[in-house]
Amino acid sequence: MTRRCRRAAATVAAWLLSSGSPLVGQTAGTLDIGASVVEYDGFLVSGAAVLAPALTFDISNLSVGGQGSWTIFESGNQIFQGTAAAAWLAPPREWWRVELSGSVGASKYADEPGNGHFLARTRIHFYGERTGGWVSGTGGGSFGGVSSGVPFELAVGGWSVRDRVALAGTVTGTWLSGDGYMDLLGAVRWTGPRVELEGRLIARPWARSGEGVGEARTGVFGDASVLVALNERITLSLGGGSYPSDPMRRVLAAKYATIGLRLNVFGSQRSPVPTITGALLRAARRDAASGDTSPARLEIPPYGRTRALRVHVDGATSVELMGDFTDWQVVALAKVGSSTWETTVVLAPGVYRVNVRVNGGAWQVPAGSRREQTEFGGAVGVVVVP
Amino acid sequence: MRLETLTMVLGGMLWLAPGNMHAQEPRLEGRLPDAARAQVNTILDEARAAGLPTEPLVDRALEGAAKGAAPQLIVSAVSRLRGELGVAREAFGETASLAELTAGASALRAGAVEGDLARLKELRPGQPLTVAAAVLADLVAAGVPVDTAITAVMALARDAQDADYVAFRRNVQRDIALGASPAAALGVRLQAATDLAAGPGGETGSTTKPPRKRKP
Repeated sequence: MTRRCRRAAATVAAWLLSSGSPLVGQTAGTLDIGASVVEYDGFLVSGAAVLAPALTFDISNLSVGGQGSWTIFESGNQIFQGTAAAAWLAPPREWWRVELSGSVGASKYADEPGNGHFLARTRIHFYGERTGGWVSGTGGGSFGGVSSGVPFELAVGGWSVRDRVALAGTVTGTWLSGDGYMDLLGAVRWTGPRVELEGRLIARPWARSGEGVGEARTGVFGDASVLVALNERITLSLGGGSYPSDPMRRVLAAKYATIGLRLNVFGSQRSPVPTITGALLRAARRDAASGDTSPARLEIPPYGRTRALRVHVDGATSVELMGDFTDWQVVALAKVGSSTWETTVVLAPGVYRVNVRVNGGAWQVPAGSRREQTEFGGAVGVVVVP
Repeated sequence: MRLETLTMVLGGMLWLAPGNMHAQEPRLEGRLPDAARAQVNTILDEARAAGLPTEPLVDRALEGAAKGAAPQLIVSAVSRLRGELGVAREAFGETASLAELTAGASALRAGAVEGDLARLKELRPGQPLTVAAAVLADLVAAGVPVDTAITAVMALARDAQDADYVAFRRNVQRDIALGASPAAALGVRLQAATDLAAGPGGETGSTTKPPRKRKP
């Protein structure tokens, strides 16, 4: 194993792990100025302008860096984000090497409170002349948001380099706050004299999480980018595609297209995409939940000359309600769909109070109604029939 | 002796009569303990005498019973609601409907005062007040400061239809759910609604379906 091979191995491994790796970009000081069109999961398409400085220092086996970004959307909302990271590479052995790294990050979106995370990772690299691989474990924490938790990630990857082409693949399992998901990533990079092309394909075949916006969901994603060196100091970057959510780093899934200029480029960082931050993710999750915590949603559509009281709830074996219109007697709803339960009543326009019970549990305020505390302890849902 | 006894019995009956002259509310039969039912019936009598609807009072008593509340809590809750209905009647007038009074009571509980309801009535002569008052309560429940919610509902009062109020409330609640501060969400939606009222070209709460999503 030559020194050159070991350096190549480290470089490729860094590329493989460019998302969140402190080894990104090697020694570099860059300033990205870009414009993007992005559609985050749960949001409308929006234009965005991005300014992203980054600075890394490599000192022997130690790499330290920082990166920030300022993104402003069409709406005028802004995201400020910053990450600092460090990695230490143990002295190389004959065919393996240990890397210890850590990172801290924080972000703030619009008027939302800020969020942050810290991660520590241990990675063992294995390398040959043109191929190699690694295994890693990552743990840490997040703070400042409703989704705070202790994430844990296990990953294994491999790479191969042939002339100007590098191939890589990883399998990653991530667990966070009881949820989990697995990602399969394949990537290819071609590096020419002035042009660099990269494509990534990501499959998420398994995910155990909620259905809300920002949750990890199965799917196939892919994106591509091209870097064209205009001169020694300026590089044009183009990119587009889609990427999955990253609950561990609080990034929301998105489709995007971006164009930008990179000034004083060293290395081969990808063009920055205005990633959605924890605060925005929390806002999106609130949207998914519509501000209600009850799993049962009530709607009262017209039903001929009467009204249907319809409750939507997953996984119920029985749904009951009681309210002003039932003389506060318990009424069992009939199942009319896989997750829809219904009864019909005659309701004059007015204001009504109602509670719902699922599977014989506690009486709750159904989503879709206004919560009002009662003198009797607990709360009641208030609905208006226009 | 028999006459004296008879007189005493009659006298006793007359003395007891006011307490036993309640119109017994049949919906409460078997749902409340006798003592509490008698107290609630007294409140119902007072409400009838004041020209107030008794249905919401009975409903409130039944709610308490269904939830296993202590009898005294039930009586207290019914009494409080009777007071709120009375205030709403004062504000909305003698012709106010049951729904309007109930919605008015709900708004009072949310933080509005009689003057607010009276102003709403003044701004919407001849128009139903139920939805406007209910939306006021909904906005406060969503986190909008009471004064701000009242100002918003009043600002819409002259021109908005019920459907406009419903759309307005939905949009504000959605904005809040998406992360906007309640006051800011209200301001944005109120501006959109008042722009519409000012002339064509604005967003209409009643005819424009609000987007399920928003821009980031």
